[in-house]
Amino acid sequence: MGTLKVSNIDAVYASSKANEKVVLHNISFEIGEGEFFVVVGPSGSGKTTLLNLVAGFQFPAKGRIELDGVEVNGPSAERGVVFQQDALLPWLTVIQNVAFGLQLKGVDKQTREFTAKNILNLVGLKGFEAHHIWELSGGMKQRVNLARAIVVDPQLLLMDEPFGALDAFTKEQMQVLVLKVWHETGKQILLITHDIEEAIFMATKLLLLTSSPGKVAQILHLDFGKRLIAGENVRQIKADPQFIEIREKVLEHFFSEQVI
Amino acid sequence: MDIFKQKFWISITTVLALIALWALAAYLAWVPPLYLPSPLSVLIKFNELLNKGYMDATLWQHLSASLNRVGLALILAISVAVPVGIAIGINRVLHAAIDPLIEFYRPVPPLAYLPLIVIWFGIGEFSKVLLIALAIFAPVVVSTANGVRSVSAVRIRAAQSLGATQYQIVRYVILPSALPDILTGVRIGLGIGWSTLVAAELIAATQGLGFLIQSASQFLVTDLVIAGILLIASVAYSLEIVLRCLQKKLVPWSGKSH
Repeated sequence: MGTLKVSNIDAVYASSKANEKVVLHNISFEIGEGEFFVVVGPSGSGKTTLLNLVAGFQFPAKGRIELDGVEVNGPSAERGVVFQQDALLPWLTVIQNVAFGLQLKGVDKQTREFTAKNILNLVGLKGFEAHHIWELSGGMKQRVNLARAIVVDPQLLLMDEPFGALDAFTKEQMQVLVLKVWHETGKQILLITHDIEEAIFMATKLLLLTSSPGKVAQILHLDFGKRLIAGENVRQIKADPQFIEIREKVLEHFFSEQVI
Repeated sequence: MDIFKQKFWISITTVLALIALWALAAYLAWVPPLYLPSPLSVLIKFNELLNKGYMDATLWQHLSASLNRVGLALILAISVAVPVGIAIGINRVLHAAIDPLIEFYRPVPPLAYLPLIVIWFGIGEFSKVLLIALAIFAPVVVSTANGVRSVSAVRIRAAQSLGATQYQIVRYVILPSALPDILTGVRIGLGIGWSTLVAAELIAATQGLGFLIQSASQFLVTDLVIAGILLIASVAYSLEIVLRCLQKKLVPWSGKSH
């Protein structure tokens, strides 16, 4: 396991040659072994662009992205992605969707279904193997998305607003689940969100982005997720005065920045 | 009564009312039988066709001649149109090169280029199949390309970050994603192909439903002409229903939110 190193990244969105817009400016950070790295920012801060760059779907105008010292030059199975929605294949059953990455690698059917089954148990979808995607609720679909991304054992897991479309209750369940999966698999995670509470709750390192262009405002070191792993209750953690204080500080930061 | 049943009975009543009006018109001789024979005489002619055939061929021979031509044309058209549609859906250069050609020939009625096909390929079976295939080809290409272009980018990206190769993306993501559109194209194409049949069977055919109508009209056997028309319509209708069932079976996820 190694480090994801993002150094002095600029990203530019060009609607035409004359009309270039800098979306991200001079972003640098590192995601170390076992780190849960969260990027939080208002809409228009280029969060999703940042994830697309790390995933290799887009390329930076300036700067370098390296995983284990090797420059990122396109999508690859070592950087798994969990999308917000609509990324599952509706003609496949739940287990076939999860096993899809292994099928692409040429793993035989028995082995891949065995592995997929284990991962489905891990994300709490035991018994849903043969279901169709359209029979699942939003939360369940996100569990399948998560399972599908980790089945190929990526080094780094990228999550693009994975709970953005879920209701508050399901969202919290998924946050707890992802922390559990993170703990059990020991993966490095990069999660993008606009939900400040979620960001503070889950991150071991939290990057605050300013908006247009997105710049690094601050990087915080946190441990609320680890407290959950250690056995503390979710509501207890989110109601902790220390949690609330940080949440209010971050909120204040974003509001003071906003020009209305 | 639920809405579906209600609709069904309204359709049935309309058809029966029209037949009754037709029978009445024939019975009261509002129109001479040469122009409009009675439903009964059409039915008798149909029975005769069923038992004795027409022009040295049984009804089944006429029917299977036509179905064979359309079937062959369909296979020919699909096996070229689907790969071409996928290629122009994926590749912008190919799209720019091929799309204008298809859009240019697509609206031309098959009867207009029939003479050219006869000059090039003669009056044999191949010309007939080719004419029908050309008619089916365009809608299948166009809807395949549309289906490919509307595959969600997220699906493709998800596959890429699972390590899929370009070929695997086409085979396991793009093709199944576009399948509902491809099948719709086939349905439209088959409709157009079937209606091109009569034109195709103008070319020196001795069997086929199109030939049957052509020939009967030359001898002014109006009741046989009507029987033939009804036969062509019912075959087309059955094909449409079969394809709709096939579509439901092959792409059960289509139209469902996921």
